[in-house]
Amino acid sequence: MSQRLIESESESGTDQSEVRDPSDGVKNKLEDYTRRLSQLGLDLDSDSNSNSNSSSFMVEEAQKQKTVDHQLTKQGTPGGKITIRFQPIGAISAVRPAACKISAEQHFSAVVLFLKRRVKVDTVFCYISNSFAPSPQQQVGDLWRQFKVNDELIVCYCATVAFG
Amino acid sequence: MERYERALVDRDRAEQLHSELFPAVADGGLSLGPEIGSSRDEETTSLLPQMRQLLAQRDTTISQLKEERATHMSQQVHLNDVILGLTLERNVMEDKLKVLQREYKELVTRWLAKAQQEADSMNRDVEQHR
Amino acid sequence: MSIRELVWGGTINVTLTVDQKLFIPGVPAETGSLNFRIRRDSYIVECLPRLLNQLQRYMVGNLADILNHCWLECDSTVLPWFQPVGVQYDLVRYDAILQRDEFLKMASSVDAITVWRIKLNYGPTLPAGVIPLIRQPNQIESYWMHRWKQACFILNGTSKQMMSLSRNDSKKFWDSVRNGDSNDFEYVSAKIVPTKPRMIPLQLHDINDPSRIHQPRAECENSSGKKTSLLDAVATTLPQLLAEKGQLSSSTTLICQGIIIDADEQLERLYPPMKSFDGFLHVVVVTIL
Repeated sequence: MSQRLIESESESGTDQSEVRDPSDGVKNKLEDYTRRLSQLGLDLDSDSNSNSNSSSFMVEEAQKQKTVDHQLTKQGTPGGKITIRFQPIGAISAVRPAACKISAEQHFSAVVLFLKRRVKVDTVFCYISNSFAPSPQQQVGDLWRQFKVNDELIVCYCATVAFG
Repeated sequence: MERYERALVDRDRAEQLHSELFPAVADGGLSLGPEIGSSRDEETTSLLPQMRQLLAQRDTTISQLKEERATHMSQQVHLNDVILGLTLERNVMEDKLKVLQREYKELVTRWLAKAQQEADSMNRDVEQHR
Repeated sequence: MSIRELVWGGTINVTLTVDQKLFIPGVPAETGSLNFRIRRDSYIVECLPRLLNQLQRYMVGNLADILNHCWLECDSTVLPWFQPVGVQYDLVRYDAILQRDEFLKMASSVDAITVWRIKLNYGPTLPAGVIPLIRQPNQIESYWMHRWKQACFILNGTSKQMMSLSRNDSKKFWDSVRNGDSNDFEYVSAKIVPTKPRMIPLQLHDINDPSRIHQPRAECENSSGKKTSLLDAVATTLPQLLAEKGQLSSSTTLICQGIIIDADEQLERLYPPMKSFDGFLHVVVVTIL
């Protein structure tokens, strides 16, 4: 449903007239990826186990570069971040770690984008409370306040349509 | 709640003024802009298929040309890179050639000097034996 | 007429101007102007195929491609397709609502007309924040169904009532929105909306930040048994709008379904007659800075 929501993260083509050093390309990709992670404002639990060295490196870089927490005046969102727990449905691979923190002011579309990248799929269907798909424009903070279970927002995800 | 009923009636009075000029979408009928003359309308309508086909062809041509141009641009860039590489190589070769030519000259000079020396020494020997 | 009938029957006169880029060169500019009347309780984008069908003989390209790359604007403000028409109108034309009494007095003496002018733009890339329509018309129906599931969950604590609707009822529900059939709509929604809701599905729209949709947790009554009012919901979400003594500031007005609403109104009383066709109670918060 939300394919191109985060316009600032569009993949622009390279300028073909530039002569590029191959090592610069890899470095640029790493920097680009860490910048995007920091934009998501996603932190991972410190005791998480990452499968590959490169992804743990990315996580460390993201944590180093994370944006300043927004202090919200709303109730129940200490430090401006909320916890999301991801639950896979069906044959789709699980996200490690299963729980992440995200800024309450992020739209739900950021969560969908994050899942697509972590699980490496083109399309993912996300649901709250095994029931409904929220609008991509809804803020995760509002969803958390309304539908949280044990201080976590449970987001189930599937590669195909699961709940109508 | 009665107050809201009155407010909603006022809302409809304000927002539905002359609504007879605006057909409901569900009815399927719509009021378009000013009427086009019927004969001109028929002529336009009869030309439409050809015009649309022509436009589609033009669009296809444009996109093909754009693709070709993009290919040519990338080839040009590649060629420029090759030219640059070859130029650098040539410059290096030229430098090497100069060095080699210098060495060759030096060697020729030295060999000539040695040959001259030997020739002088042989001449001296010949003079002595006479 | 009852409040519910008035809410369901509310319509807006619209003049839609279609982007000239979509027309065959040489077609007069006036051809791309459509006048129609649309219900406040509908999605304008759902009507677009029907509207554009009227102009198709003058247009370049096929309808599916056009719909995938177009968006609506009013005075250079993008109108998100997933909001009801009434909410979009109230967000951009709140001044007309605030000055309604003067307008009605004037309208009786002159030939006044209320028209909402909007533009349909077309381009290879959509503006930032616009959700692309890639599976028309199923995407709109699917989106609306999930809105009702969310509303059902908020009202009942579970989406079971919505998910256990028969195929017939589901079809009837969506068709009632498309065709403006209030009988069918009320018949099916009665199976979802309880007489004693747990919480109220509420969305607040701030005219000073239209892209931000506030959805506060709105219980029908607080822990001490006091009924929750609209003011209570605004206080938790937009506390900066409160004046001293906890009342709404004098420069703030609350609009719902095109009329001004008292901040002290209980949500439980307001929701049944004033809810939108997507199951939510939409309130536009107008603060003149």
